[in-house]
Amino acid sequence: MAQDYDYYPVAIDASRLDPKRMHRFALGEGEDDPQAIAICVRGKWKFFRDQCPHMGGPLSEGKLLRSRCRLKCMWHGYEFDLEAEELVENPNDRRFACMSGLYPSYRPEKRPRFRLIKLKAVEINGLIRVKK
Amino acid sequence: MRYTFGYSEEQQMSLANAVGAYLDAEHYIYLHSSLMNAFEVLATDGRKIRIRQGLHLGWLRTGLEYTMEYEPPGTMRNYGVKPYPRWIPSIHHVLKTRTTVRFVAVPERDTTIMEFSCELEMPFWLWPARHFLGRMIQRMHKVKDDEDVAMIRHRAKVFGLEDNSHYLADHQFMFHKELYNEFFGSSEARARAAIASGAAAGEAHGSRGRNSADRAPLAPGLGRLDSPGTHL
Repeated sequence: MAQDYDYYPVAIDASRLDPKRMHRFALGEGEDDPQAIAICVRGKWKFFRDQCPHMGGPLSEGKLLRSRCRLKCMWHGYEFDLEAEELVENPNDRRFACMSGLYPSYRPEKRPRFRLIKLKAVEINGLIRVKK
Repeated sequence: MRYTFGYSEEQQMSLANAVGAYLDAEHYIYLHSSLMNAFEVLATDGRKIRIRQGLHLGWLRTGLEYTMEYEPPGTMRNYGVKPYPRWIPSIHHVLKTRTTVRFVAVPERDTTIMEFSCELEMPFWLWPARHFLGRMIQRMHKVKDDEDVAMIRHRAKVFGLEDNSHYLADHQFMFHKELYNEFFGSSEARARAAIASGAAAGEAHGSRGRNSADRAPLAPGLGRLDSPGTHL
C-alpha cells in the first residue's frame, strides 16, 4: 500500500486535463518545488519534469508538435519524441555542420542519449498524484 | 557624424555562463525567436565570424549581415553591418553601426557586469533622429539580453551559479569553443579569466588598476543608463 509521503503533495484534478494541451503544474506548494508537465500521448497521459535534459530549460514553454508526436524545447530547439521519451533531433547539427571541423573539441557524435525525465503518477478518485 | 551611447547592468551570474550564453549559437533562433528566426554563418577568420541573421516571414526575407569578433575572455564586437538582401531599403545603407558587449566579473559579489556600448556613424541629415535610432538599437539588445539573463538564472537555479559544464561538453556547439575551453575549462582558468576581464575593461575605460566593482550600479539587477555622449 503506497503511503502519502511517496507522493508530491499537490494532486491534479484529472477532469480538468485537456488532452489537446500540454499542462504545467507545481508538484509542491513551495516556490522551489519542482514543476511538471502532463501531455496526452496517443490517449495516455504522461508526466515529465518541466526540465529539458539538455540544459534544464522549461519544456512547458516549448512547442508541442502533435502531428510528429514531439516536444520542442524553446531554448535550443531540441526535439524529443514523446513515445520514445528521448531526443530525436537537434536541428543545430545541420545549421552548424559547416563549422564542425573548425573546433576539434566539438564532437556532436558524443552527444548523450538525452531522455525526458519521466514521473510516475497514479489516479485515485479522480485525482492524479505524482510519485516522488 | 558620430553618436555613441550605452548601458550597463550587473547580474547574479558567473562570467563563464555569461560568455557561454553569448557564444552558444544553438539557442539564437529559438530563445530569441522574436528577433530572428534565421541564422547562418557565412565565413570565419580566426576570432571573426561573418553572420547573417534575420526574420523569414513566408516569402519575405529580411535581415542583416555582420561580423562578430571575440576577444577573450569577455569582449564581443559586432561591426560591418549590411542589410540583407542588399537591395532592400534599410537604414544600414547609410548608417554604420559598431557595438561592443563586454562582460566583467565581480568575484567579491558573485556577479558579472554587462557593458553594452554602441557607436553610430551617420550622415548629417540623420543626426536629428540619433536618439530615436539609439533607443531602437538599445531596446532590441535589451530584449536579447533579458532573455539570456532569464536563461542563465534558470540554469543557475537548477544546476548552480558556477556550473558551466554544459558549455564544456563535447557535443555542445558554440562559437570559439577552443577559446572558451581555454579560458573557462577549469576553476583555475575561470579565476584567471575573471581577473583578466576586469583588467581588459579597465584598459578600455582608461582606468587601469581601478576595481571593476567601482563601476557597478548599487543594486544587482538594476541597470545603469549612461548618458549619451556625442562626438562630432
